[in-house]
Amino acid sequence: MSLLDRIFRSASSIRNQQRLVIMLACANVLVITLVCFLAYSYFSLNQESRERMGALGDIIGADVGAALAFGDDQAVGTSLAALRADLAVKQVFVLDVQGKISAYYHNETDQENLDRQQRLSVLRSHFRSHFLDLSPEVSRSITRDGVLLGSVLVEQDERVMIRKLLFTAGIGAGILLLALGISFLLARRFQKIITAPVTAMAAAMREVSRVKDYSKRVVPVGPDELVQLALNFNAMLGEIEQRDAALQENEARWKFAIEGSGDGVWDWYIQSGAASYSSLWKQMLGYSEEDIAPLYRETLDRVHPEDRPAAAEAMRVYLAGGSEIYLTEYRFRCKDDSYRWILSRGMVVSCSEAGQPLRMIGTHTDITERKEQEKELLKIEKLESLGVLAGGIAHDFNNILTAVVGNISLAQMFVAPGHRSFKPLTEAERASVRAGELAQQLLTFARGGEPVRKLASLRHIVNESISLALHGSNIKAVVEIPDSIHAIEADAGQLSQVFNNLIINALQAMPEGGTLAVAARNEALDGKNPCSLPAGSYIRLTFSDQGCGISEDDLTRIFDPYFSTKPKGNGLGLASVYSIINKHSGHIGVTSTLGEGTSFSIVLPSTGGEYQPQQADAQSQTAGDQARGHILVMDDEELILSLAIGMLEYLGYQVTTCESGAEAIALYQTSLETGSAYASVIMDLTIPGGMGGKTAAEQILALDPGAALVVSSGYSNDPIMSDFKSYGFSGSVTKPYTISELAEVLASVAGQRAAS
Amino acid sequence: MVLRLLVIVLLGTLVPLPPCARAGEVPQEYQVKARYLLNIPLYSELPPHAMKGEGYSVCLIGETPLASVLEATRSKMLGSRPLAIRTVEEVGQLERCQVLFIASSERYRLQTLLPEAQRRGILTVSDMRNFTRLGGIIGLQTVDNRIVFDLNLSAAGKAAISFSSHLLKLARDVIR
Repeated sequence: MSLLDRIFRSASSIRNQQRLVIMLACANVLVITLVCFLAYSYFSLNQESRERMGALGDIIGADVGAALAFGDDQAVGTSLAALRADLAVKQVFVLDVQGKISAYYHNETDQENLDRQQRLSVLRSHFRSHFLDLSPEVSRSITRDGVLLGSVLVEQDERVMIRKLLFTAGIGAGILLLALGISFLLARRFQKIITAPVTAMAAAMREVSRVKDYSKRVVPVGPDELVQLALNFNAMLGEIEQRDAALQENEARWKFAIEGSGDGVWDWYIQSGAASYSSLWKQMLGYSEEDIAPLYRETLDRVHPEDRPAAAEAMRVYLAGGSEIYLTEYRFRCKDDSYRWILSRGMVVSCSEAGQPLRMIGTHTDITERKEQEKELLKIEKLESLGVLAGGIAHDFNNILTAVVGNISLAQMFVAPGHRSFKPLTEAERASVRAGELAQQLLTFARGGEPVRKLASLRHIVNESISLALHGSNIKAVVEIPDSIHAIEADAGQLSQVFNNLIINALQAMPEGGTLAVAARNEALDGKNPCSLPAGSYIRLTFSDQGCGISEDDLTRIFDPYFSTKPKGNGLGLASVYSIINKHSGHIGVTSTLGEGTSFSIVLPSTGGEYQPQQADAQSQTAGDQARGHILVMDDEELILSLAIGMLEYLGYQVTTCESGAEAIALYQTSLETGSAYASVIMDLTIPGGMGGKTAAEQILALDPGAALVVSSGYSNDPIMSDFKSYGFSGSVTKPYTISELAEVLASVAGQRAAS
Repeated sequence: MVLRLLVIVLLGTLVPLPPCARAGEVPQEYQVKARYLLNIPLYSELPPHAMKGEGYSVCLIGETPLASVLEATRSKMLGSRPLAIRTVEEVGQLERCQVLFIASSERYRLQTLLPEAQRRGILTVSDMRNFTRLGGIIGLQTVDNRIVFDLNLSAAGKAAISFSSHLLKLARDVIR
C-alpha cells in the first residue's frame, strides 16, 4: 500500500496519476481474470484428462478383458503395446482379479529407474492428492457381464497438461499486455477529455487573479464534476463581484456620510505616496478638481510653514502608536493664498503583514470659525477682567464725584441765581452728574446690576438726555411726546444712559448733520406681540436718525457685547442699552436702511397713568427752614461725611456722623435712651473692614422697629438698593447724590414715618 | 475410485484364497482350466433353448480334478445367474447343462456325448487332445506351461453357439 502511495506521489500531475490508475485497474482486473482462467483451465483440463483416461481405461479393459479372464498376460501386454501411438499416456497397469500386475505399459520418455511394482505403489499414492496433479490418473474395473475380471490404472503424461497450461498462460499474458497497451492509449485519450478542461479552468483562474476582473467566467465544459467545479468557481466569482460592488457602494456611502457632515475626505497610500481627495476637500479650500494632483504631497505643501513641525510630529506619534487617532490642527493654504484652519483627523485602515501601515483615510474639517470664536472669547475675557478693574476704579471715582457734585450743589445754595457764579456752578454740576452716570455705566457692566426703579417721567429723562448730548452739535432734535404719555417705573440713571447712547449713535451716524426724531406713544399689548412681552400697558419710544444706516450683517450683531463698527468704540454702548431695557422688562428693536437712516424702537412697561410730578423742587425751596430733626450719617469716606454734614445742615437738619456700623448702633441706642431718637439714619451699604449698612440696619431695627433708615451706595445695581424695603430700609439714595435728591429721600422717609 | 480399488484388491487377494488353500493338491494347471470354464460363458452366446432355466450350470463329466476346484465356486453367480456345478454321468443328465466339461476319460463316448450336447446347444469344453478336431467346441491345451485353447467354430455353429471376437482373438487355433 505504501509502495502504491509512493508511486502515486511520484506521479505529480493529475494526468500521470490518471494514467496510472487506469493501467493499474486494468492490470488488476486482467491478472485476476488470468489467475481465475488458469485455475479454471487447470481444473477443466484435469477433469477432461480424467474423463479421457477413464475412457481409455474402459477401452483397454474391454480390449484386454478376455485375455485377462483367461490369464493371457502376453495377450494383455500385446494389447497395451498398441498405446505407444498415444503420447498422452504416461503408464498403464492392468491388474488381474487378484490384484496382480497382468501387464504394464509406459511411454519411452519415462526414464524413471523403478520397477513396475514400485511404480504401482507410487501411482496409488497419487490417488490421494489428485487435485493438484499435473498427471491425472484413473482406475477402471474390468468386468464382463457383471463379473469382475481385473482392473486397469491409467496415468496421463504431465507434459500434456503443462503444455496446455503454459499455452493458456501465454495467451493470458498476451491479452494482459494487449489490454495494458489499450488502457495506456485510453488513458492518453481520457487525458485529453479530463485534463484539458482542468487546464483551461486553471488558466482562466490565473487570468482572473492577474487582472482582478471578477466579471470573467470559466466556460463549463468536460465531465459532470468538472462542469460542476466550473459552475462553483463561477458562482464564487459572482459572489466576489457582488461583494466588491457592495464594498464600493459602502465606501461611496461613508464618503457621502462624511461629506454630508461638511468634512472633506483624504485617502493616502502611504508606501506609494498616492492620495485621493474628495470634491468637498477641494471645494472647502477653493480648489477645482484639476488643481490637486492625486498625491499626498499636495497636502504637505499647503500646510502653513509654521504648523508643519507640529503636524509632522502628530503623524509621527500616531504612526508610532502613541495616539489612537491622528489628530492635528493646522493652517491650510487655499487657492486664493489665504489660510484656513483645518482639523485633520485620520486612521490607518490597512497594514502589511509586517505591520507597516499601507493606507490611511481621514477627514478635513474647516475650523476657521471656531478658531475666530476662540479668539473672540479670549478678547471678551480680557475685556471682562478690564471691566472688573474699571468697576473698582469707578467705585472710588464715584465717591469722589459724590463729594464734587454735593459740594457744587451746596455751593449753589449760597449763591443767588442771578449771581455770575451760579451758571458755571450749574454747568459744573451737570457735567459732574454726567461723569457720575459714566461711572454708573461702568459699574453696571462691572457688576451687572438690577435697575433701581422709581416712578419717572419719560419726557423729562428724554429731554434731559437730548439737551445734554446734542448740545453744540449740528443735529436738530424733533421730540414728539404727548402729554398723555404714561408714567414709567424705571431707573432714571440707566434710562438716560440708554437714551444717551442712542443719541450719540445717531450723532455719529449723521456727521454732516440732520434731524433726530424722537417720538413716544402709549401702547397696550396683548399676549401675542412680536416682542414676546406679557400683556399690559406699555409706552413705545422711537429714535429715528437720517444717517448712513447699518448693514444687514451688522444689524444682527449690533447688540452683541464688544461689537463695534467704530474705530474707537468699546462695543459696550448698545450692549448696555440692550441689557438695561431687558432688565426693565422691555424690548428694543432696530430697523435700518442703508443711506436712509436707522430707527431704534423701545417698548417699556408703563404704570398706565400719567406722571404726577412730585414736589422735589418744593422741598429744595424749603431749604433754610427750621431744623426738622437729627440725622445720623454713617460712611467710611470722610469726603462723603463732610458733604453730608454740609448738605443736611443746609437743609436744616442736625447731623451726627460715624464711620462704622457698630458706631452707628451705639449712637442710635444712646439717642433712644436719651429720648431724642434720630429722625433718620443714612447708611453706607459697604464699610471696608467693618459692619456694613445691612447688618447695622437689622440691629437698629431690633432696637427701634420704627427707625427711618436710608441706604446709600455707589452700586445702584446692588439688590439691596433696588429692593431696600425687604431689608428694612425706608429709602435709598445712589451716590453721587445732589442736595435735592437727598432732600427728596429724606422727605419721603419722613412722610412714611409720619404715616406709620 | 478408492473403493473400487479396494474391491479389486479384496477380490484379488481374499476371495481366491480358499481354493488356493485346498488346491495345494490340485495342479496349477486345473486352476487355470477352471477359470477358463467359468469365464468362457462370458464371451459366448448360447441358443435360447439352452438357456431355459434360471441358473447357469457348468456340468462335469468324467474323472477330473476340476470338480474339486470348481466346488469352491459353487455358490457363486455367473453374471445375474446363479452358478451351479454339476457332475453328470449319463447323456440323459445333460438337460439343464449350459457348459459341459468332458474329461479325457470320456473320450470313448464322445460320439454320443457331442451330438447330444450339440442338439441341446451346450458348449462343450475338454482338455483332451484334438478335442476340436473330434467335434468338440473348445479344446484346452498345455503349451510351454501355458494353457491355450482351440476353437471349433463349425461345431459351435452347429450347436447355434456364437463367440465374442475377443475370445476368437485369444484362441490358438480356430477351426472353421
